[in-house]
Amino acid sequence: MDVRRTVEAVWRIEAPRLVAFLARLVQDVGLAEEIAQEAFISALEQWPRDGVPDNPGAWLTSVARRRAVDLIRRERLRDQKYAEVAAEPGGEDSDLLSLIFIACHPVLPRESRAALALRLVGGLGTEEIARAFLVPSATMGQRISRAKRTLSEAQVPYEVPGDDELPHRLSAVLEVVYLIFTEGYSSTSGEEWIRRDLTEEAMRLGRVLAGLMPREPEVHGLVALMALQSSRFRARVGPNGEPVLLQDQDRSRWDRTLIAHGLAALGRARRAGKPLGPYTVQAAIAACHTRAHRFEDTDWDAVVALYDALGQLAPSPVVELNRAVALLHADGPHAALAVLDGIREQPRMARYHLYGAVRGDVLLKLGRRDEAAEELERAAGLAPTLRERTLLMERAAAANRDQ
Amino acid sequence: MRVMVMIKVSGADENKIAPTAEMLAEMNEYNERLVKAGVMLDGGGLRPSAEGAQVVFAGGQTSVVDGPFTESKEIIAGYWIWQVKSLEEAVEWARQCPGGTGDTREVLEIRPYYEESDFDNLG
Repeated sequence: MDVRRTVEAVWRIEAPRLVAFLARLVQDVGLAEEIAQEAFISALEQWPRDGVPDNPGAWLTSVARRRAVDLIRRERLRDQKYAEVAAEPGGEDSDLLSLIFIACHPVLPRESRAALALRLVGGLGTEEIARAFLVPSATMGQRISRAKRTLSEAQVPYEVPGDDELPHRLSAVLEVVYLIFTEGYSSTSGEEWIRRDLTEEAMRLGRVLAGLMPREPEVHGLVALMALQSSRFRARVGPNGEPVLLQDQDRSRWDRTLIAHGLAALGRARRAGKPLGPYTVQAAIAACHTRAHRFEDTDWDAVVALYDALGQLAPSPVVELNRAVALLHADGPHAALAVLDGIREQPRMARYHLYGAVRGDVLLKLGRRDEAAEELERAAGLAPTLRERTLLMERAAAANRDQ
Repeated sequence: MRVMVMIKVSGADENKIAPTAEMLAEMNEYNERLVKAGVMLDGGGLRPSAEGAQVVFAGGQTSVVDGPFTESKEIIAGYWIWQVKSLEEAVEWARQCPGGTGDTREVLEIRPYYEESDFDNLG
């Protein structure tokens, strides 16, 4: 096998922990990454000649550590004694955790957090990250180096946040991971396979985090949510690329491995004995759908109860819209319409085509066809894609016709 | 990409690989690394083939053969399902798996799953 590709694979496996260890030593993420890269360049030079070492991680760590200690000594970056003490073997969990928290630090703009997390914790190259986020490679490179400079200038301490800070810092991390996931999940068409990889990267980051913070239920909740959502990937797009609604999906095409993985993670979140957070509740909703063999078998009362809980934890009109859909199935169109009318004035809903799509459906079930057609036409005007617009126009026409 | 990694041992050695406490500890440590790296989706160890059975379809006939599978050259002793970036990454992980005792021959066979994109060009 090509040594270069082996080195790349080793980079992906070893770089996060190596960079994390070095960053603790030199207290600068950018510098740490440079030292790690130099060690990999040495590997590229030596391994083709001498063979890949049995323990490539230990090889790289010792090369990089030597460089780091030299640098500290030469530049008098830190007290030399400190450097010798701190230069104990790396690979500590707390180092990697610090790296994750620093990559998702609130001092950075949101888009940079995602890029930096993929780069430092995911071991992805700039080129790859750029392609996934559909921006030019140079732009992404600048974004990443600016982020590293910001961290360095702000002298963000390299550590795991203390107890008082932890809750909001952790939710910033989870937000970054979920943002990476949804970025990939929202892609559908063939040429966007590269963006699909983002969902896998996000799930991997989530699992890394769950390994590092096993007592935090929301980490498991997010892992569960991502696994259960992506278990439906195969089923949610039809043969011509058209979106397939949950109720019409061929459930035999759902990914059983991801379902098992997701349900196990959900179990861990629930067993933590802490109040459920928003990711866990959303995962529990996804699990209700997963457990139903047919759409008609869905336990809608449970779904409504979970949306009630989610509405308390993370109130938003989108949650209310989803709650209305659940109520439609659990209690009928009157209950659903009451919820929909309650959020009608929300500016976000006024621009959201799915609001009109749902309300149109509910009105249709109540026999209010004129209003339904009007609502569906309005929704069609707001639809972001031609396909969705066409579908909504057809439904509006059907509502008018079938009077 | 998702791969299945099958842990195979020579059929004749199947009974020789009763794991020692030390081997189990090494394996646990390795599994924990896989979990912490976010690579592991699933995995499990399989009981000896003496406790299994084969359903064989051949020559239009279906027959059931009880274990042990003495005629099989290699027997699957366990498996993992990993999510990795490339085959090379999987190979590198597999290389770092704690090896056998030296008396037996063990093989880690890495097989990528079909991905959805493999079917894109099929009607």
